[in-house]
Amino acid sequence: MNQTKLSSLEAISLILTITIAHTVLSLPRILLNSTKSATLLNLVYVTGIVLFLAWLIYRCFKRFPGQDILDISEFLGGKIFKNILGGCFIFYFIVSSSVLLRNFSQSIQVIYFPMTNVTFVILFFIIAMTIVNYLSFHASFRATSFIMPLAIITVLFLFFANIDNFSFSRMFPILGNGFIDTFITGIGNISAFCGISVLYFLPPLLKKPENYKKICIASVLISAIYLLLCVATLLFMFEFFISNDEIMPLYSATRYIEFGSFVQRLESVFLLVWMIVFVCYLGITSKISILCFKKITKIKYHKPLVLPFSLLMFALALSPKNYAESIFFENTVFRYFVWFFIFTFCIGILLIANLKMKKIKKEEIT
Amino acid sequence: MNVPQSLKKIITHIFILFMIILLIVSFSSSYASLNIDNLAFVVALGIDTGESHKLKVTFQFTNLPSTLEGNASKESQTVFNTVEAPSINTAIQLINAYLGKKINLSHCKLIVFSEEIASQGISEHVYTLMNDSQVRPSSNIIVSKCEAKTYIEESFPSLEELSSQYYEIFAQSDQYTGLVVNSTIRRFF
Repeated sequence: MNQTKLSSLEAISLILTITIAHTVLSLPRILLNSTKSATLLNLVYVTGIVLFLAWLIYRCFKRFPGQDILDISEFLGGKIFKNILGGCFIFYFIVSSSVLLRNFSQSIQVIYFPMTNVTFVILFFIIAMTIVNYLSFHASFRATSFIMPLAIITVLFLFFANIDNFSFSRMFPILGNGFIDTFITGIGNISAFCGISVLYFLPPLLKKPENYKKICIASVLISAIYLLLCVATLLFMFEFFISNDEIMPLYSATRYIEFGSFVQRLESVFLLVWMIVFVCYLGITSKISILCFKKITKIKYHKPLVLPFSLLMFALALSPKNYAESIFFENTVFRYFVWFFIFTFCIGILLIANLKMKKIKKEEIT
Repeated sequence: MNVPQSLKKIITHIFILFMIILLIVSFSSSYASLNIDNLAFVVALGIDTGESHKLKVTFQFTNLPSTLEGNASKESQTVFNTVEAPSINTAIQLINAYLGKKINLSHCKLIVFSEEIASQGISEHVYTLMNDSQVRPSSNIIVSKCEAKTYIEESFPSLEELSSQYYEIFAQSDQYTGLVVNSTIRRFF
C-alpha cells in the first residue's frame, strides 16, 4: 500500500518541480518586469501572503481528512460540479505544461539545434514523459525527489559563482516603481507560487497525512528561497536585460560563470539538469491530470490514459503558431489564470465547503 | 496467451527502433550545421560608421591550419570581411549569405568600436551582442581612435601565433599594471 503513497520529501519535491520548471523559463523576467528593483521586497511580501494561503488550505483540508479538492467539490456541489472542477484542473495542468514545453523546446532549439524542427525537440520530451508514466504510477514522483536537490544546488551554484558579476546597487530604489506597484499591483506576483496547486491533490496521496501542514509550509518557504535566489541573481547581474532578452534568463546568467581559462561554458551542464527537471515536471503534471480524469470518470486503470494524454500534450505544444504566441500565454494568460483559479476559486471552494460542513455538524448536534 | 505477449514485445522493439531512427535523423541536420568543418569562427568584430548604411562591420576570421601532414606548426591565416548594414544582426545575415561557411561568434574575443561610433552611443550594439547566445560575456570591448577596421587589420601580435589568444589575454594586463581597462561585455554596464 505504502508503495503508492508519497513521503513528505517527495511531496515537497513535486511542488518545487513546478516552480523550478517555470523559473527556468521566463518567470524571473515576469517578476522583474512587474516590480523592477523592488522584486526582492515584493517576493518577501508575497511569500507572507502565500504562507497564509497555504495555512488556510491546510485548515480547510483538516475537516476533510484523506480527501482531495475533487472529493470536496463533490460534497459541495455534486457530481456535475466535481466534473467541471476536474475538467478545469486538467485544462490548467495540460495546457500550462504544453505551453511551457513549447517555450522550453524552442529555447533549446535556438541554442543547440538550429536546423532541427521544434516538433522533434518536443517529441523528445514527450517520449521521455510517456516512458516515465508507463513505468509505474509513482516513478516520476520518486525521480523528482532525486533530481530536486540537484536542481537546487545548481541555482545555489549559479548565485555564488556569479557573485563577482553582481552589482548590489541594482536593488535600489528599494521600492522600485513605488509603493502601489510593489505592494498592491505587485500581489500579481503570487502566480510565481503556482506549484501550490499540487497541494489540493496531496492529502489522499500522503504516507503520513499528519505531515500535511509541514509540507504546505516547507514547500512555500523553499519555493520562496529558490525564487529569491533566482531573482537576486538576475537583478544583481542585469539591469537592462529584462526588456531585451528573449532566451531563458537563467541560461543567460549561467554563461557568465568562469573559473580561469579552463572552467568555462558551464551552461550545457545547467541545461542538462533543467532538461531532466522538465521531464519530471511533465511527468507530474500529466500524472495529476490523469489522476483527475480517473477520478471524474471513475476509470479503474491509469495506463491506457498515458498515451492519449501524451498525444494531447504534444498536439497542444504544437498549436501556438509561433514563439510570440506561446510566450504571450506564459506571460499573461497563465498569470491571470493562476491568480483566479488556483488562488481565488479553489480556496473559495474550500472555504464554502468548510462552512457547509460546519453547518451540517451543527445541525447534527442540535 | 503467450503469442500476444511476444507480439507485444516485437511491437515495442519496432517502436523503440523507429523512435531511435527518427530522432537520429531529425537531430543530425543540427549536428551537421554545428560541425566545426562547416563553421567560420569570428575572432574579432570591428564596428564603424558606414557610408551607405548606418554601420560598417568588419569580421576577422581565423583559418586554422590542418594538423595533418605535419602542418601543426604553421601559423594560422587571418581573413577579413567587411559589410555595410543597418545593424550588427543584419551584417551577420549578409555575410552568412555569401560566405561558404556559417559564421559563429562563440570564439569572438574582441569587439572594436571606432571613436566616431562610440561618441554616438554604443549601448544598443552592446545589448545586441549581450543577447546573442553565441557571443561570450568575456569578449573584450575596445574603443579605437582610428577606424575599427584599420585597428583589426593592423593588429599583428608579435609574441603570439594565434590572434585570438592575443585578443583574449592582452587586456588582462590591467591586473598588474592598472594602465589598461579590462572592459568586457559582462562589465560594460
